[in-house]
Amino acid sequence: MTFGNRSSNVTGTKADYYRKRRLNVLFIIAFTVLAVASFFITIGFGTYHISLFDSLQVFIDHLTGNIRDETADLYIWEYRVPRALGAILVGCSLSIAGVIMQNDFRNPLAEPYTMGISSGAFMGAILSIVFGISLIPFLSGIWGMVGNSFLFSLLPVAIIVVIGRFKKMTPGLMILTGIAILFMFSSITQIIMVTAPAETMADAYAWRVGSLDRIRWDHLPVIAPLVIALCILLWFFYKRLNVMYAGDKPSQTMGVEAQKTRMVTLVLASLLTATTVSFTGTIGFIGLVGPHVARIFVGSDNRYLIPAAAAFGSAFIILADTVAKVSGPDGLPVGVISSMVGGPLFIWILVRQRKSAWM
Amino acid sequence: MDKKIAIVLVVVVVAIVAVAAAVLLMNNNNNNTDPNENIQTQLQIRGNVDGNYTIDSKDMTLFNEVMDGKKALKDYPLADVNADGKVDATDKSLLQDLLDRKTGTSVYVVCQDNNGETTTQVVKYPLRNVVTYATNMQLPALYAGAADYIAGYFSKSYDFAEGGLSKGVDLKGSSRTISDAAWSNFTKLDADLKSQGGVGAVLIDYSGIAQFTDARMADMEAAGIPALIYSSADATDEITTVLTLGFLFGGDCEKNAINYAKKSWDIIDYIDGKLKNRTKDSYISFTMRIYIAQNDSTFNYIGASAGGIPYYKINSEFAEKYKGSSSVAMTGPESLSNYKDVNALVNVRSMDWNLTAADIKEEIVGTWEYVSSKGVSSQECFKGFEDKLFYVNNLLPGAVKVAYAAHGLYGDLFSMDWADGILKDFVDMKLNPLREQTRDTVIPYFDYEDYKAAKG
Repeated sequence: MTFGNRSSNVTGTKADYYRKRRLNVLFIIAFTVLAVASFFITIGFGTYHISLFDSLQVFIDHLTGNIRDETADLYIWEYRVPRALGAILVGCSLSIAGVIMQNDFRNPLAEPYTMGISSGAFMGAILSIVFGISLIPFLSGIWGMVGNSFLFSLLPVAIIVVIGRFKKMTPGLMILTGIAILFMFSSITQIIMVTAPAETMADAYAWRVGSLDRIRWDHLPVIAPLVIALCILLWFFYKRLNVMYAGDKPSQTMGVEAQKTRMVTLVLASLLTATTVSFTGTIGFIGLVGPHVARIFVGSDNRYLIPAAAAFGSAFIILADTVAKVSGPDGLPVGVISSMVGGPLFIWILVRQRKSAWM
Repeated sequence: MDKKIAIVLVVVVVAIVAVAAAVLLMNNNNNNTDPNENIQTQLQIRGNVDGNYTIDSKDMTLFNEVMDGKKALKDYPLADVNADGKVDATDKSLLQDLLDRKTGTSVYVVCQDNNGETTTQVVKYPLRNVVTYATNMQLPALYAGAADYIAGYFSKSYDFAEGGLSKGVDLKGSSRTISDAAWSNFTKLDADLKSQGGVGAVLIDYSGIAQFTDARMADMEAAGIPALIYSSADATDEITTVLTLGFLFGGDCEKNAINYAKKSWDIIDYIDGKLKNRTKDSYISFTMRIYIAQNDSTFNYIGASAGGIPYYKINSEFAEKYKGSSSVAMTGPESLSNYKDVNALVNVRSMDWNLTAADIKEEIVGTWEYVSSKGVSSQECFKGFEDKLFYVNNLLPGAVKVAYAAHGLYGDLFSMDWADGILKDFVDMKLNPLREQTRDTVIPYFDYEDYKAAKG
């Protein structure tokens, strides 16, 4: 009887496990499908007047090499399609970066913004916008700004890594260092912006709130391979990351060098963030919300959490950008919409959930 | 029953009081006509009774007829020379002084106030020691020959075209802002010039009026410094601004300004005449490379003076979206996507001159391929409109801008050689900003063909 009960419990646990796994996969598939569907929806929205059906027709016409309306093709294929693809990549990368950082620091508030990465990117952009400085000599104009943002967004993590080589840093100390760097960068950029001419300040502000309207086809060969490669690479860390939930010392006993893993994944997540924010500007919130929402539904197992956050982040940003494109006379930056819509949504989800999804 | 009668009585009394009040108010208005109403004039000076380009004996003749009641003041508002609402011996004496171009005469100048309404400011003749703000006003002052009379300027953006300002003091403002430090430099300059009567006037382009806050205007009023404000970015207003400033500076400035204005009007009349039986083209105006000029922007007037129809007049969606008098940056490649039926895009851009051939190529290519620090690309915004887009140099005299815009709009009627000839005519006037320039050192106009040639 006892044995039988025990057997029945084991069977039940196993069934629950498979059911949960199926649900996790279902969540990932559902949001991936939503992201793909949103891609086809978003190309129908923008300043140029075209119906959703016609925009799809233009898209198909282009793919089949049967371009019938060159004007529509210009706006749909040249501008809206890369923007939509950019939205997917940005949502995916920022969400995954958030997962990694929250995991690394065992802190629900960790994300690219609180780690100073976004403020570093902004400072790099400001140097280009206000002073026209490009830190990479052979880059100029918009690419100079991208280069600056990329380099500066890596600085906070570089500082943490360097300090970590000389002094043992706890996750808490790391995140506090990141916040300190965030404030340092913010104060420097504030000083620069206060003295900048009004029109330059407007451009800097536009960068600050983040927008996808700068994404073009020629940016995607830079962004896409890096984002895809880094996302896959980070996913392969899922076992180590799962072990790290137990804490540094228990991880050590389980054969995972927590500090080393933390540093490696942190650098990779920073590269992932830098790759996208240097093109789009600071798109806040998704790095924080994406991981939490995904965690509520799929739990903390990084094998599912990483792809789930990526799928949710992509769908969320592409839908937010669709709303952004039709807001105001000529659209609004997606950063504004993602925070405006994401904030209440996040609070609602947090209030509705019965148990803590965090750890 | 009594109650109903009482109510009716109250209603009747209220109605009578309301009607009486309205009649009184309307009469009141009639008795105190605003002296700045209904003014249509070329030379913006009170005493220019006939509203033409100068003050001469014909004005005195007309003035006498107004004073004698043979003609109505409302038809000749500038007969009220001192803007006190009536025409009397004081006005006559003042007009005589103006006819004599008597030094020290108070000249009542018609201009704008800081709300854009017509007003009258008083300056001493001849006007000296002026301070200028913004290129759109500085160039008319220099075209009027005022280089020697500019005591200071808040900013200088174009080394060669505005080179004539260098005799004045740089007050260290910028093209977009007058800082407190720059304002302090201005008040110091006024104090330094006290022995010469202080700053004679501040010449302000209305598009920069935001820098002249109520507090600053009050400071100027308290110091007795008149503000002469004109919408001088408008090509036609620029002509009357040059004419008026020329009169105020006096002597050769007046003669040159009259030549300048007459030549300018001849050009505009010529364009009007040639376009009489022609279907007009629509246009959208731009400034600062990627900013769409709103419906009432002064930058819209260049195309209109060249015989074009502003696009907002034929597209209600555009009209609604671009209400206002300023300009709005295009946000991306789709900004113009719904206005494919427009005939021309007139992009007004200030480009300094005294250029080499290499400078010209660089400027043309740089402008055409401009990308804002926000990442908005000029080429992307104008993609599909390349053959409709042309740039006109905003630093040129108003009529020259109009001539090149006419060429851009109606190339079959107004050739490039014709527009170049007009530029040469103005260069030959020995105007300070255009000193010793030729067609090879100035970019007056360029379009897609010029861009392709410059790009090689």
